[in-house]
Amino acid sequence: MIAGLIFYFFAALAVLSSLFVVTRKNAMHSVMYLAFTVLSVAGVFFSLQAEYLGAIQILVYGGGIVVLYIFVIIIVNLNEIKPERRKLFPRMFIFSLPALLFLQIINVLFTNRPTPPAGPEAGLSFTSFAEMLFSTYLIPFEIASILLLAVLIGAIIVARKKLLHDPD
Amino acid sequence: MTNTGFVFDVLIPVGKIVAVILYPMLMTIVMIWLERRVVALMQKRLGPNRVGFQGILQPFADAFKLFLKEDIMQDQADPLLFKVAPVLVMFSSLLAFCFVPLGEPIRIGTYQLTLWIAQSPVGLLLVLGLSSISVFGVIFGGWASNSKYPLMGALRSVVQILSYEIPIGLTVLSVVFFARSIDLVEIVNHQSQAKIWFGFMLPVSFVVFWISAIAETNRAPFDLPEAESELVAGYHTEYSGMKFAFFYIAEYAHMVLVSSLVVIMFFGGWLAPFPNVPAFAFLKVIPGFVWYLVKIMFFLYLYVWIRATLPRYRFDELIRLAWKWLIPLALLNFLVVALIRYIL
Repeated sequence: MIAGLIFYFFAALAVLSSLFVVTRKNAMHSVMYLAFTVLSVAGVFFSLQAEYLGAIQILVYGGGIVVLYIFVIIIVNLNEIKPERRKLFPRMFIFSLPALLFLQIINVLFTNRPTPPAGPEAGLSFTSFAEMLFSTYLIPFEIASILLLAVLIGAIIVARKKLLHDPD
Repeated sequence: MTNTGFVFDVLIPVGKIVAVILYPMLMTIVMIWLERRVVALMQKRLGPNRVGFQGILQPFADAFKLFLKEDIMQDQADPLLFKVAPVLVMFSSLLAFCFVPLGEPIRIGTYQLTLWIAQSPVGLLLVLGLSSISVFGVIFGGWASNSKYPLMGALRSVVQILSYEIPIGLTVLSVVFFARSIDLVEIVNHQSQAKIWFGFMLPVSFVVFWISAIAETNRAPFDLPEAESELVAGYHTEYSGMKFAFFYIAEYAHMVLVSSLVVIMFFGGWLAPFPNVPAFAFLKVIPGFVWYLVKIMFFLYLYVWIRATLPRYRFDELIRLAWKWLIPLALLNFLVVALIRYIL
């Protein structure tokens, strides 16, 4: 009962703050609500007893990615960025994609409800998760890490090129 | 029967929650006094010694003054973020204490009183995550002040905290390798079974973690975000009254938290020293939380000692130390520890 209440509290908080993320005009306020969203999603994970996911959510998204967003917003001069008028087709694309996604979610919610599989025990899931990642899903895991490495090297090269052309 | 049920189900949890909020505050008061007195004595001054015995009531007087001060917010500031920032800092510091075990469980009749609020299988990750959240408050505070020095302080702190989180994560991993758990209580239990503290097994991990932890808490010699000779007071220059006090308390609470982590991961938490020497077996009579307090007081004293001894780093030197020395060292240490763990 109480666990359910906590779940709905954090879920509502996540939805509310993610709405604020897209409606705020001030980029810094958006980022603050994004941080709230990340933390409340972590709360949702905790209420579902997925403690590892919750901790990683706080550590990686809260401590890492949102902080980088803030860093970029401080460094980049936001006044230089003017909202550009988009053509009809891109605008349709932008609006239709989330709408389709939303319809799909509604569809899944109201048509067929598969009974959730009985999850493993709370203490067991963490080790079994780790074992699965490094045995069954080793190849996707390694491919993902190589992709990330490529992105990292690419980012460094792009940054260096700009630096070399800098007259200072 | 119902009476005892009420005590165990309601009174004790509520008491624990109150204790977890009060504990960092009390430690802050002790630390402010200790820091001012010790630094003064190290610099051949007297320090505050008028209010109460040896000036022990001085922090209370300071706190009272901050309560009564006018709360100023300048017109240029962003009101929402300016008000949220101190709350965020305080929230993250206090919440992390829920997962810190302060001592071994105490048995009262059939009831077992645990000296922690929550034992989580991922406690260590949670504490690290929550302590990295406090950077939000620092940046929001610096940005919302809409003033030069706070913004510079906030920018510095972002770079510093992001850089030093990497060696912290890598050294924590080496401890986790030996304990085979990221549960803080389990880590201590493992040290009690192994009869050796990880600090002596993994000295490099401890040193790298300690240096990075000082940087992460923005303390001297790495207190660049609030370097008063360059940036007035850094990110909290524009804050006054209780909002300033929140930043101040949160900084000290963060120090207590980091010291607790060091004690738990590297120096056996609440365990008595010398578990192998029979002559020192009488030390086990002293309750666990006393040992814990003694140990964290040592590390808090070390903070003050380092502050009074070492000059401040320049900012580029600070970043160079992280990326060119600590991270490679932590990586190498991680590799060696992993190899040893694999062979054993």
